[in-house]
Amino acid sequence: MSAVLEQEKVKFPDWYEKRRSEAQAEFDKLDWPTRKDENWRFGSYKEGYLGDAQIVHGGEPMNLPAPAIKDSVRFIFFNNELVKTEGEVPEGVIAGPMSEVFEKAGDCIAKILPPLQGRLGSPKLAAMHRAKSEGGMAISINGAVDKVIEVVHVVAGEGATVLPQILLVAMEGAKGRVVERFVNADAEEAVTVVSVSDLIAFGQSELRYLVSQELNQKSRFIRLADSKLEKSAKVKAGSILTGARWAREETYSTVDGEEGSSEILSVAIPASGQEYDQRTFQHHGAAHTGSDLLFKNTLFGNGKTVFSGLIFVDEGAHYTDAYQTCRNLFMSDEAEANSMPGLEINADQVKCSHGSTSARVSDEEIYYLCSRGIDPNSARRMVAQGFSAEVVEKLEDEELEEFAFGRIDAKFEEVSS
Amino acid sequence: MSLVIENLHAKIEDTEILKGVSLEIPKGEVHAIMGPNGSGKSTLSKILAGHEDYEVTAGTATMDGEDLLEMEVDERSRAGLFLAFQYPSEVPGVSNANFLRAARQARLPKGEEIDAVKFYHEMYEKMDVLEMDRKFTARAVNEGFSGGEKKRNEILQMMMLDPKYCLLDETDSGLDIDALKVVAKGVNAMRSPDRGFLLITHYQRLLDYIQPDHVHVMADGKIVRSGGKELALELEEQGYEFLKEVAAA
Repeated sequence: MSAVLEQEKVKFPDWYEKRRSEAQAEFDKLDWPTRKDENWRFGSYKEGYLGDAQIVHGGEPMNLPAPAIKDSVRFIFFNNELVKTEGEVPEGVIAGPMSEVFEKAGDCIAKILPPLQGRLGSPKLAAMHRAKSEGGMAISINGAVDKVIEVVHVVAGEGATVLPQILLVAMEGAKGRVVERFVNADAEEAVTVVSVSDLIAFGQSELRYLVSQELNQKSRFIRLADSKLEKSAKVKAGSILTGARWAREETYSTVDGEEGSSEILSVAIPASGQEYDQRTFQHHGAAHTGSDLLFKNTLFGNGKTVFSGLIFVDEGAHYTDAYQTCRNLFMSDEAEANSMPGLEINADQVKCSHGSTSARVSDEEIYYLCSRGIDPNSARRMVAQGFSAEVVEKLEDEELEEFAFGRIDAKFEEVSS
Repeated sequence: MSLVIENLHAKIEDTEILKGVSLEIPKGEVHAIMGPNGSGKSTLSKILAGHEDYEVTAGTATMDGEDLLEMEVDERSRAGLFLAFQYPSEVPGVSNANFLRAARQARLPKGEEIDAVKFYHEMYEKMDVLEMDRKFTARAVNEGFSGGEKKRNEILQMMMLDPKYCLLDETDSGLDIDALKVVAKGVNAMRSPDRGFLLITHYQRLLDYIQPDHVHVMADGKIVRSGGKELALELEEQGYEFLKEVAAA
């Protein structure tokens, strides 16, 4: 852990410190995941044990990556400490380390800060995160913001555990785009990342939020993501999983306001030795709400995926439209995909569907591409890219799509070389 | 300079489908193969294009002296062979333009990049000949295309890849008369002393629009008769009855 230095403790307002000590008490009471835990079914529950975590914060910044999106405003965190800001923060955006934003707008934040996460299997990790994390990034968007806000988490330290966080608030009628990336400073270091993201979209706001997990294949990644949408808010939240040895995402989406709609998107490309475990919950708490989940996994070698998703429609949430689709494309016979889609409907006049499919890459498609002179490797790559394209195009944003395709292409390049 | 097939035998699993096909298609000529269902016409084209379901058990196929059967599927294409499929595959998520671009890129030496402006210009020009809407460039390859649109798309690929030898497997099937005329216009525009064609068809109708130099009849895995274009007319009138006599002989 030579690259990582323990930094001075970050100062939080009293109300937040209280939350942290409550979280610590909660942490002490809770158990680590076990084999019998339904939320870890088919998953590697032992990876969810972080009892011996060496939590680090800050350090000497190194190997900070180049911008992923042209003309974005960038916040680079090194082991969850803000070390660099690039570009001018656009009008209408308040952004910075959580401790500073809490200081300025404590009372407002305290009111909207969501409850403790981890409802989909990792309450202990959520409690650990709140008790131990030294903050993270807070962004509030007011009005229509053109520039993409890019938050990059660079993590370092062999055996270290880093606890990044992002709080994303779209104020009434706001419009914005945020990209969050996770990268290692050192390609050889095994780092554990436990990241928490809270997204709150107030009435009529429109938000696009894309997460790209690009860690090296020695690292471990856990992301607990929570979103809450108010009346007529529209959110497209996507994740591109290409890195890490093992990654787990727990995504809890609540649509609480009428006409609110949430799109939950994911492209995951596990290669040999990689396992991605995704748990989702689409919660409809009001009438006339919508959610649409589309996950596409392309599995190489002995890559493994687990998907477990539930659409839950509350009593009274009539006229809900909710969809959930998980598709797996096998690029090898050794890969493994587990899907557990689910529905629970307690309202009337509801349109819901859920489904999961798995298929091997089609020999006929490959033959067809090859018959036009494209070599078999490139042909397989084109088919896999085409499979992911449907998800990326749902972002309906040229810059974010270009970034997402870039990440996907890089992974395919890596796998086929 | 020819596409030469000699005594070609092939099987799928345990069923022998080609039982000694011999045929020579010199550059500059259009040959048509006709014959009843199950005679092996489509199989012949698939084997030449390298489909892995079929196993060649005897015979040879060469293209301008090069051993076609030794080449991989993609190598055959880059060497100048093109098969317009009877049932072209759909490739979801891959746009037609990207597909064609990748196919063209595959023909360039390593390190050389395709000139995108020239490429699009050329593609649009060819699409105009085939009366294809420009929106087809952005659509996924053959996905949701009608039968006629798929066939036009095959001919567009053929025009863009500029092959030396073109095999057209029942390109006329599923086409209405207007679409057939458009497809034929595309093929006729490509006729040249530097290119050979093999048309596989059930019906004489296609040959009204693409005049062949030679017509062959295939039955039970062999070429049983060859002649000029008048043979197609004869077949249209008399059907394949004579094949029974051939079989009996």
